[in-house]
Amino acid sequence: MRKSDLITGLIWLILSALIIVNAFELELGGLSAPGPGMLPMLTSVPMGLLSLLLISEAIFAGRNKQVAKTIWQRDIRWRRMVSIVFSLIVYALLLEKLGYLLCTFLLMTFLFKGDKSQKWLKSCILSVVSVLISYAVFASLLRCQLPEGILENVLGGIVR
Amino acid sequence: MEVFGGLLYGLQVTMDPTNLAFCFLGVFFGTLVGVLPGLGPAAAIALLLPATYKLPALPAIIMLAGIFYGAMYGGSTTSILVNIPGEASSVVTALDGYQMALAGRAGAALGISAVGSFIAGTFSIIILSVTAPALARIALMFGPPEFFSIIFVGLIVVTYLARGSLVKALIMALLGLFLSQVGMDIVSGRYRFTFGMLTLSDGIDMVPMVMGLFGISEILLNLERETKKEIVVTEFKDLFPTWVEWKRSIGAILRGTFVGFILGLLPGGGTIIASFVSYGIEKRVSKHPEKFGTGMIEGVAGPESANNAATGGCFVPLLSLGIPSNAMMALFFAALLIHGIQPTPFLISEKPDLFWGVICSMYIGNVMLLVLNLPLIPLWVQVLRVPYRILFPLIFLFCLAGAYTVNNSISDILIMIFFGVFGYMLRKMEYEPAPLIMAFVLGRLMEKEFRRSLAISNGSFSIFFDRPIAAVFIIAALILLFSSFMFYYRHYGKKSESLLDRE
Repeated sequence: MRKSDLITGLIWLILSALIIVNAFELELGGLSAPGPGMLPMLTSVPMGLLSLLLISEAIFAGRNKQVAKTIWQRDIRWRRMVSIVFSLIVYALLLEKLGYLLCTFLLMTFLFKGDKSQKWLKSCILSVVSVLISYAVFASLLRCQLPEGILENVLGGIVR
Repeated sequence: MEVFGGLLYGLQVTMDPTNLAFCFLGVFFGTLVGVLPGLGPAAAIALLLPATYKLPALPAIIMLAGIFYGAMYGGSTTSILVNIPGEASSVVTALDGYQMALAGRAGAALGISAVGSFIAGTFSIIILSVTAPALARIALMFGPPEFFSIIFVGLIVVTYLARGSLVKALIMALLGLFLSQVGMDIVSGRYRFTFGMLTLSDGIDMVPMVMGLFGISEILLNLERETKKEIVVTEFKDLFPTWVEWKRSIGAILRGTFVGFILGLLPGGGTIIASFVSYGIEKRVSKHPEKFGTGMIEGVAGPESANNAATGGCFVPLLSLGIPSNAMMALFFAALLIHGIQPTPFLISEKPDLFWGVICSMYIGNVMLLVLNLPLIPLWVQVLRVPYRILFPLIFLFCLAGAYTVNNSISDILIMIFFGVFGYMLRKMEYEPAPLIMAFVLGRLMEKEFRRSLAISNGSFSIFFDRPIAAVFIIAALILLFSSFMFYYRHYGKKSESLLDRE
């Protein structure tokens, strides 16, 4: 039994059921004047059928001991990956509060620092360089608006 | 001829210093992306989409196109020198290219690769300049059923060609369609699936989603393990193939060009399939098929020409019909929309500067690449030596800043991260993101044409079969679908291995 296929199959099945319910609420309309719910319906019904197919194949096809590729292998660096994703989310949430320069600097230092391989100083330097270059490229060259924060105000004050 | 006039006009437009500069930036960055394993042209284009927001449409598309065909040049460099394909369409090049390198003929492989790419690229652009206007004229007779059927068949073929299980790929396509329905329905004005969230009221933004699915998830995949690869680069002296090697390659180059262009043009085709098919063809027409894999130069010349020819072919449906034929072109479709340009058969006549400008920039870009590639190889080799732990934070930085600048909103960054993790999980569980992206980008257009068709026919589905062009495409797509399922079930009784792998 391929567990991952079974789980994902169930997820798609539930999703398609939810969409169908919603589609009715949105009004299907007639075939000659399709309403907003028509296409969600036409999308979710095949999805539901296919997910049933997937589930049944997940249950019945793996009978013989096929070398089940364990997707979640032991040597994957889970902690590192989760911490990185977490740091990205925190970055997003703090970006407008701390401003681009400071927030990005903190994130980059964290990312460059890595597990244990890099030294603090080297990470900081790389971080400063990349933040400044990116700021120059995005803010000046491409004229994008990046959130202003503590450092921008400080530096802005100095520059002015 | 109209084409000549157009080309002259395009040259004039392209020769503008800004456009030239962006062309150069595009091909340079494209080559870089092609060289770096793990970051493909799709991800790069997705990453740079937000950066092009403030630019006018023409330089933006010129640059993005440059990244696309530039990556085809760059990918071959690492395939040949280090046996690490920089991107998917250079995988076959490594088969014989690396063997040539081991035998000391890396220079010849690189030279043939560059020249073949140039010849193929140039030819395909010429054919593009002729076929696209002609096709656009034909397309003026198309109505909603025809457009719907073309989109439908393209989606089905992309799904069919996706690696792994067809069932899973179809689910991906349907999921993409569903995601495209989130937001306000234009016809009725009702909000679909937004759950009251303001961010979603306009629909899910394409750019953060694509950046997440292609960019972030790719990085996450690469971060799974510590990579301590030692890149061993083979030495090479000169860059010139021998006369004999040239003679052998010319046939391969011409065949590759032809095959590549057609496969780029067909719905669902693209550069990757072009290179694989070309390799197969070279092997078949060769007098020594058994020697393939040991360093046959045709095995380098053919695929490398094919993938570059495919880049030209890919643009034909997009620029003449307004319909992207594969996932990569779906990104260009998105890019055009972002810059306020509706891809339709009227594109060529309404925006000749865009059409001819992009085409001429592709000529110039190919010249730049031919000149750039070979002398800069030592630079690319150095780039390869940069450890991934320094590269990936920079790529993240790019993504984060890019996602923010789409709408000056943090929710876009969060959407990107969400799709990044989602994309990572999908890939781990053997789902291909390409059908999802294509369906998402095309979903709204497809729905519009579908509803219009039904409105014309008063609810009758026969409209799709009464009109010959639409009928042909839809029947072809349905045949493809049903035959794949039949194939499954014939095996159901016999083979007891998992049906979900078609490989």
